[in-house]
Amino acid sequence: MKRIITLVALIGIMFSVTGCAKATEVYSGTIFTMDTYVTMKIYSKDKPEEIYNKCVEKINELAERYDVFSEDSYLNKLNTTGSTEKAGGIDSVIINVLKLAKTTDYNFNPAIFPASQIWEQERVSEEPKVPEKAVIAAALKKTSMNNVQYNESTSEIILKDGAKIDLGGAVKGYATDEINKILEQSNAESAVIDLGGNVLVYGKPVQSNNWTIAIRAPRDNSLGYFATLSLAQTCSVVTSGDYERYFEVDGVRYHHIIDPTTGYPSDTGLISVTIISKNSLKADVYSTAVFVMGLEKGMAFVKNDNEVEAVFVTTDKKVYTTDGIKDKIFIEDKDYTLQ
Amino acid sequence: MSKRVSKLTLLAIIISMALVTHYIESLLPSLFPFAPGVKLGLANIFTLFTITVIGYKEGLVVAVLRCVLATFIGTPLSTLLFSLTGAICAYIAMSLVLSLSRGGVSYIGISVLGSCFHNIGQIVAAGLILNSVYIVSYLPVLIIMSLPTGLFIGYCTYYATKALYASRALCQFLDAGGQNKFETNYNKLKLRSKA
Amino acid sequence: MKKWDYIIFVFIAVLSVACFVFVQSYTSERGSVVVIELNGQIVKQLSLNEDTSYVVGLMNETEDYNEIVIKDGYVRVIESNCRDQICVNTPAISQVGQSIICLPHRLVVRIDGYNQKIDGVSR
Repeated sequence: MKRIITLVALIGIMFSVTGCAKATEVYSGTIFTMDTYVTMKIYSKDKPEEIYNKCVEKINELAERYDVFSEDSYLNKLNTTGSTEKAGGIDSVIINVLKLAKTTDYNFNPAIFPASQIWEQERVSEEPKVPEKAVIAAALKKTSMNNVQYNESTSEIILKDGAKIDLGGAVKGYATDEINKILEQSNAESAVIDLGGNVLVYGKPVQSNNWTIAIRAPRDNSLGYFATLSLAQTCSVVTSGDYERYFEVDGVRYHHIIDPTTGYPSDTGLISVTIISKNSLKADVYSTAVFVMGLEKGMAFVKNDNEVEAVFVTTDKKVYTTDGIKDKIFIEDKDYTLQ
Repeated sequence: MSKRVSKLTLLAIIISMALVTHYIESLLPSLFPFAPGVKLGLANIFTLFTITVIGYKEGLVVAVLRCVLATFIGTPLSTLLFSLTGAICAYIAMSLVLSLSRGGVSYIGISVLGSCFHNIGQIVAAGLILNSVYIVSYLPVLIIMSLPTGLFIGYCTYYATKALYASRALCQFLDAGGQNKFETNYNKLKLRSKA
Repeated sequence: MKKWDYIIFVFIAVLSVACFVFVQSYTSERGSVVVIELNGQIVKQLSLNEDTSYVVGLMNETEDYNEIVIKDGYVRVIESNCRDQICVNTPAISQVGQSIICLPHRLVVRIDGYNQKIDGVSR
């Protein structure tokens, strides 16, 4: 009898000890920065709020430095003085973006700002109109990458002839990568970061074996999304589409992703491109570049890089994917067909 | 023969019988078409027998060795984890109820409980390995099925043990001290078993 | 039959019902996704509404396979070279939370609902 009591007691102690094991806490919040909403949800056994605050600090730091509209930002100083030296020194982020842009054959153009601004100003005006050809042509001259001179040995950048760097969405991608680094150095177990539509899932999936990321439907439907992705590990998902900032004139949609060769919103038959990669900056740059390239060139381009997977949606709602994601995408809206 | 050697021999015989039963049962197809995965658990007869006749420690040895040795005779190593969890859970359940009930339970009851926890143990192990919560949906059926299977096993064990006691065949394996224990156990068994 | 025997029988019955209720709370609606998991990782998702057949495996060294058939909103494992054939004998499933499991092949075939919990939306 004594032996039984000891046995039961031991089992009881075993259970109570495991019950005392630390529980994972979660902390989440939303801030408005970089002209968009950023929501972060962090899971950690040890003060997730601290990790969250570190991330917020980093995002604000980057938002301040690369705010193209703010007078004090580094980026603005670079654009007005035309030289990194005068703006305050070398910037490795911009250099990385320039290098990435080159690999896309400048279908992602970091200096597209003068052209894209023309369209943006129309969009927010009272009665948006299609800009004059001459205006677009003039702006286009400024966006040539020849006006951006990068000196490899000194790492300095010189801007000429009215060139202005915007980095576009690339700042969000870079910020996401920096958040990833912060999470890695912390003891966060899992996290879901939504940086203005750039999604980063980090660590152990919270709900089941995989993360479930939905892709926004390019044309409004009842669900809000048209497909979901099942991802097993840390990953960034970035989508570019013609549905976020646009205006319509005479039934024609003019969206915000400008084709650097024409100066007009790209018209290559795609309405949405999603890039999945561990490298968020790349995903960001590629999603814009590939959207401009169109389905054929875009598919060939991403297939060349085994760090990324891609999902393309054409105007007739046909969905094309790279092989690595084919088994992980599930179409929820029957109007969209997986090819 | 020294007490240790004879007990060892006895256990060796029991374990080998359990092993053979385990193996043969694994070759048989599933007996219940509506309840996939339900096994009779014939090898549990031996675990139960050892616990009631010889002792708790020996019962555990039989249960564990039965599973481990099974991997040497053809059961794949991957299933070892599942069968081991099941056998150990069954052992714990049966030992607890036997000692806590002070004779208020018969072979039937112990066996049913053993069968039930054997299944629960296996399901939980499988769920953890496969990382799937959904495997739990098998539990209700398996638990209910432990009633008939436990009943059958219980009867088998009861009649086998009774016959062995009656024939005093075990005496040769036990020395004087062991034989005393045997007599007390036999008397207890008559009280414990189904009337 | 002794006192504790009856207690155990009642306990078993109650436990079984409790498990059933617990499982039911997870599996209520008719599903729409067939999720196929190997070793705990999702390898394929299929629509429950499209009649199709899919073979898992047969490409690894061991040549283990399970053939899954979706027909009329039900999923079953129709063929497999596993030893115990439990997966083949499991009745067809169609509700969220139900699953067919092939333990030797570490295969889980389960049904998931239309509105799974989304962790994030990329836009």
